[in-house]
Amino acid sequence: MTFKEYLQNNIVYLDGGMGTLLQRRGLKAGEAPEEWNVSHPEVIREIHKEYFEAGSNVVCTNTFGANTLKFSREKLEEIVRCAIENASWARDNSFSTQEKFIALDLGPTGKLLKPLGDLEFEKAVSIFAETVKLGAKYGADLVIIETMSDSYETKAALLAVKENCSLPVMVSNAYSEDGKLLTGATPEAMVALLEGMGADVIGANCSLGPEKLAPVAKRLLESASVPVLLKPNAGLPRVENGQTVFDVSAEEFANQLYEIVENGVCVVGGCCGTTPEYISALVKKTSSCTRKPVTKKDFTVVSSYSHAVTFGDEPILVGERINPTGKKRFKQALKEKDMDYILSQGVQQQEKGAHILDVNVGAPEIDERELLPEAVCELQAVLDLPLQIDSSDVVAMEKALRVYNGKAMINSVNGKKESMEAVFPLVKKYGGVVVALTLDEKGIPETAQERFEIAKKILTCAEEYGIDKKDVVFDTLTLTVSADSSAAKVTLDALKMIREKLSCHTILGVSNVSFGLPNREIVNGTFFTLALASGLSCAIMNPCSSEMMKAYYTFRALTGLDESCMDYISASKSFEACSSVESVKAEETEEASSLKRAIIKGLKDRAREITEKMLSERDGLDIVNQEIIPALNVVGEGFENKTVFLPQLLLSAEAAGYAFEEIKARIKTDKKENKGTVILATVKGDIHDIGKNIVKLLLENYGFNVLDLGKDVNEDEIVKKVKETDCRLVGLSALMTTTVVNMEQTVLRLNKEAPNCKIMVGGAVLTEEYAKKIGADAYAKDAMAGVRYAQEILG
Amino acid sequence: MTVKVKTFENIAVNKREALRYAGGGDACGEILPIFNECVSLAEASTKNRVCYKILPVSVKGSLCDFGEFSLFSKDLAKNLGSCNRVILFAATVGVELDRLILRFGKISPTKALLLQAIGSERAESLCDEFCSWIEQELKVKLKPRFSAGYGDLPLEAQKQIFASLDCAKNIGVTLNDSLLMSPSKSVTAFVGIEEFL
Repeated sequence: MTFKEYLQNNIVYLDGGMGTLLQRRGLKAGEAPEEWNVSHPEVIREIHKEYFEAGSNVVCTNTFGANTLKFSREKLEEIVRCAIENASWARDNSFSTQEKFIALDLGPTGKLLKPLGDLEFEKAVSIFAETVKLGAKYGADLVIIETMSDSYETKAALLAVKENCSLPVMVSNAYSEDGKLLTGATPEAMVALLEGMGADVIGANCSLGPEKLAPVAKRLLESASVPVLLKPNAGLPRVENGQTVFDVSAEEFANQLYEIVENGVCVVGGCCGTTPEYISALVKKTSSCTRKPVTKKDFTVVSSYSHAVTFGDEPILVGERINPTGKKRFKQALKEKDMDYILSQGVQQQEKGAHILDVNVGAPEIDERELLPEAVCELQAVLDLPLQIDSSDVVAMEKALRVYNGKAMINSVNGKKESMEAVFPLVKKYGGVVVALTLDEKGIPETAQERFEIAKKILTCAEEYGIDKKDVVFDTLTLTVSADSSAAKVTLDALKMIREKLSCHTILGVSNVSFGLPNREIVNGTFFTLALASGLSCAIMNPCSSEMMKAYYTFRALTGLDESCMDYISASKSFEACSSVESVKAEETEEASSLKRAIIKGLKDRAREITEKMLSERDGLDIVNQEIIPALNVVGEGFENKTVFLPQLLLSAEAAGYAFEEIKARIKTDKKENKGTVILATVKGDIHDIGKNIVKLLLENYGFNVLDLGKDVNEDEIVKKVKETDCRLVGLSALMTTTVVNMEQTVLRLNKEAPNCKIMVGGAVLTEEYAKKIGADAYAKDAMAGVRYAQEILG
Repeated sequence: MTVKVKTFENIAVNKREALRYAGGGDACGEILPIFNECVSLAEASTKNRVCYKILPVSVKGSLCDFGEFSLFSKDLAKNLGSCNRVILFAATVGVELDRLILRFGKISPTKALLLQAIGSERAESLCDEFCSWIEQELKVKLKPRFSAGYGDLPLEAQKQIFASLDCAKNIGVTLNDSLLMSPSKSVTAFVGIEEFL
């Protein structure tokens, strides 16, 4: 019988702990347990055999940390081969008669993935891939990915399994007492991600005892459509007479798990502190339990690294602002790869109440295949909202889906054969909820019935690819009502039909409806309300539009979704604030309206408002030279005289940044005064970049063009960029004694290969003397000193 | 020796100390509300976790022998002096704070600076809290903390510390190629047990 067959109708017993048993048999602290597959095969075989004889159906190979980060390729192959041989030996030599399987065990790499750590996602995938290939080669029956405390690393491991073998795979995460992974994911988010990618079993192990893991098991059972696994510790460790003991006995362990198995968990075993005695007790205690059937869940769910968003009665708002269509400033940001601008659009929409963010970076002259995955990485590093990956380029879409840390929304597929053939395989491989447009080779049908027919066709095709209908959300296409007065009605009718007859969720881009009309916001808001009433699940819209948000909050209050109308009441304060801004503006005194003052005080929004107003009367450059720069000088001098401190200096710089942003948006071409380019980088090995970022901000404020190479930049790249741009000034930063060495190397190379370029250096461990010693031209003790030097060199 | 994990909640923020890390000055005027907002953000996103073990130690010259591993360091030897036992611990305020810093690094450098500073204060306070907890728990008096990178104890020692404490598995702290820790607001240290009370 294959593992998958056995899993269908039986409670599957896993094995228990390995580490504690090895320590008892003489494994020293700091010694790699995986080595024992080769050096002490008799010990490993004996432990596996004891587990089989205790009743385990599955033993996990002793390969938890077997990967190419810790071992050479040759060594790894030897370890995996021996590990599987040891387990096979135990299977052949144990006297018990139950079905027996061998699972290749994959534990975490011990590294955190970028951007929070330093391991590249693709590198993680390839590390796991090496071990997986060996496991398949030497005959494992299945793979178990376990004790993962980061969703992103879990995805990397699962992707490696899926791409390199066809074995069944169980995925188990280590949840903390708060019911989340260390990097933040909830059980629901993990189920969305893992089920989407085709895990056969999903579960939890390690960290806690059965009782404390029970709530996690419950949540997994409530959200998963695949069997749920639990492999808890024997409680918590303590030391008694110099021996490590755990506070849950074998009998208690079995009793606690009995409840959990009764509730539906059907793959059980033990983790740290559990022994064959525990497994034996568990098997005995639960052998009378009937195997509960796994219930299929019909929720439509997307997820981020932290949480899942479930489609239901609550309308879901998809922020549409990360999209260059019709936005000059956004296109410019894309061309300049100004990720900060894109992120600020994301943050703003989250603050306004978006639940999901649409990400579209397609525009002429933009390499979407490079930029889309990059934007996804940047956004998911700092925002916890699920993303909707929006592209017509399937290659770009796949690249973005690959690096996405969760189950994404995918925008979009349509009824054309070509489109379905290209998009559905990606949905199947990476998981996701796909937006399906009701159009096909013949275009957009004029009637609701025809759009409904296309929806049915799309569903049938999706099923052929193994995609469940819960993962398809239909867009019945909003057309312009000014061009065709029945357009809105057809859209809404089709929406209603799909919702009622197919029980599928729906989505619309709302704003198109008002194209060509005055006061578009009002039309959009009303159309949004009508659509919600017709069964719209999800709207792609602008959460910064107050008409749209009014419609949203009112709809929720009127349809029983807003308990005591509390959300409506708190949101309506901001509606009032919007309309009273005008009157405040009118009362401004000369003093309060001064841009210079707003910048000195660090009032960001005031600075922006005043600049916006000024731009109707004055030239942008004029504002920079007469208002912004003098204000910055006041603050800068204050900082140098120690009357202004770093946080205030930064706040003023930010306010000036807001004013610049306003000017930048207005100036037709990028003709802002440019005093020359400065290249900045934090040197190789160093990930501290706050100092560098402060210098960047101030330099930009003073009109310098800054090329920021980021942190952990190797010398080759710095030298290459300097030569490429013929840059006359480079700023290098290093915060650690260990990385100053790399700074010295970089300075040496620059002095040799780009002798005309001046180098300024800064960072906590540097001194004037040391800067001179390593051959730098200047030492910037703080950010203002950096600006002063740039002024001296570049004028 | 077994590694234990201990969590701590609600450690009060020492605002004065946090401001000192941020480059001095008082939180007044425009900065005050922003600073307070950052304190609340940081408080909501910290998850204090410490893993630790008690190790025997014998010091001979500059060799500090902890049984399962040993280190050469004149300064650590001096710090541990006549101790027979030492607590080795790793503490972290969690990865969420790094995300916040990353986020505000992109949209508000002022907040990023303040959060950096508050994060450093959080990590220090956590270490203080842990040490005074241990003192009570074990009824001992502790020596000052000593970390890799202090004096002549090289950062390389982090490798042995991480292997011994299994920080990645126990509290989710990892070591990168240049021996820096992620989450960044994390500390590892030796603390000698000066005397048993």
